[in-house]
Amino acid sequence: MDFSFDLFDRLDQYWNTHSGDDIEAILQTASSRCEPLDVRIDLCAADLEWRLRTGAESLTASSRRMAKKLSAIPRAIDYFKLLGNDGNLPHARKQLLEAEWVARSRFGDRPYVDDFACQIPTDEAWGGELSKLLDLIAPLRLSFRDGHEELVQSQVPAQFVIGRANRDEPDAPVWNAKDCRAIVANSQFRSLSRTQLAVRRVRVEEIELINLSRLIPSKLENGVLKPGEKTRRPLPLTIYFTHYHLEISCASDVVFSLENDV
Amino acid sequence: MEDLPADQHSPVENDRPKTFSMDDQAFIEELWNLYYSKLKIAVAGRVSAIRRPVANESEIALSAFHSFVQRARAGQFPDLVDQDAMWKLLKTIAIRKANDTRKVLRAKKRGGDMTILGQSDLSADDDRFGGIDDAVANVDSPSLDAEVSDLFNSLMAKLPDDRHRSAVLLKLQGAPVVTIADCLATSTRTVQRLLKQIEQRWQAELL
Repeated sequence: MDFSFDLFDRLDQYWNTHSGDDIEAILQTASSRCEPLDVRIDLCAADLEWRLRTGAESLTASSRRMAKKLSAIPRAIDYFKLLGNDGNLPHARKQLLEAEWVARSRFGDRPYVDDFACQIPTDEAWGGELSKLLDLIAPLRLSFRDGHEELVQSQVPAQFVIGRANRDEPDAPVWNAKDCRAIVANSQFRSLSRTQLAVRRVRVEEIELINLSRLIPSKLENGVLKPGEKTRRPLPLTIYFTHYHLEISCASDVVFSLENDV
Repeated sequence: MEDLPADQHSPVENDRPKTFSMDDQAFIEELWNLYYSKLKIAVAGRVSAIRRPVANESEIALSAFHSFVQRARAGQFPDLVDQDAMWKLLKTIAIRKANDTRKVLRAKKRGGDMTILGQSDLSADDDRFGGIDDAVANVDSPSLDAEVSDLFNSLMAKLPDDRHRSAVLLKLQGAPVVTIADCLATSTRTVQRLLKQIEQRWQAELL
């Protein structure tokens, strides 16, 4: 059995009763017991989540001094120093930042992926990893509709393309999971581009749409997206095409599996 | 084939039917009783070699017999005088029909030389393919229910405390991790750690 659970129990007790050891004391105990770094990172992540959920502005009395210049929003950076030398390790910082990203997306101010990814500018792929974490919290759903009738529904990744079918693709309406393409018209339907719209999830309940077509506009729920234009829209969003319309939504009632839940 | 008086026909007498009429229902029935089963056996090997579930020796024998009667009625077999010749002709028609069926069913667009197994190819004697009869029903038997229930209870009993047991029960009810965290008055990170630990523990128990 994992004996580190008593540390998590102590942390829960602190936040439930506002008495006992705080994160600083618990981390000191963990260090003295030579607990692995991932246990200490998880303790920090749990504390950060408690702060967000309970609305606590800062850490302990001692760390409040340290965190004075930080914003009221709990941040991963608050914990770097609490981890001692290990707080300088890149992977430890990354894990703490990801814990902050998940906690803020789930309980907090729901930051934008681009703004958040700036914290590790050297890692260009990190933005994509953060978007994937959003998929695990609340996946995107794509629904092909004909009037009120739902024809096809699929869970989709954080980035995908909408367009008409390529020659080797099946007829519309279909979700091509291999190429991450939502096909809304058959190959011969020339009044739609093969890559009409690029969709990218920028925060939990918001997506960015880019009209990749050179000539053809796209009709959205509240307006038209002209060729080359870009827009950000909250979810759920409906996009209208000649034959079908697409509804992109964010599943908030998802039952998470044991493995992929974060 | 010329029509002869009904009282003169006898397809099997001395292995040499002297006279017969394809308009006589009783005569055709007699032919059917005599040759249908033989025809099925004659083409069974060829049909089996087609390796397609839809290929059926009964249908090929039936079709061959039907063709034979229709063409005899149309006078296409004037030289057919004895039982031996009749059997050879019927067998030839049936074999050609089997060959045609093979061509159609094994066309490239229908899979070519790929073997497609049918129920008749699957026998309980073959461990690899038990056939539909050996498929497990989609209904749990009472004994399986009891076995699973006992196993679950024993795994739950080995968990260290009620907190772990509550986490499992909530998870099995489909509760998201946030709900479990609320119910247990803890953080989602702690719940994930708890569930991961239980998963590893149970996997070790079951292996």
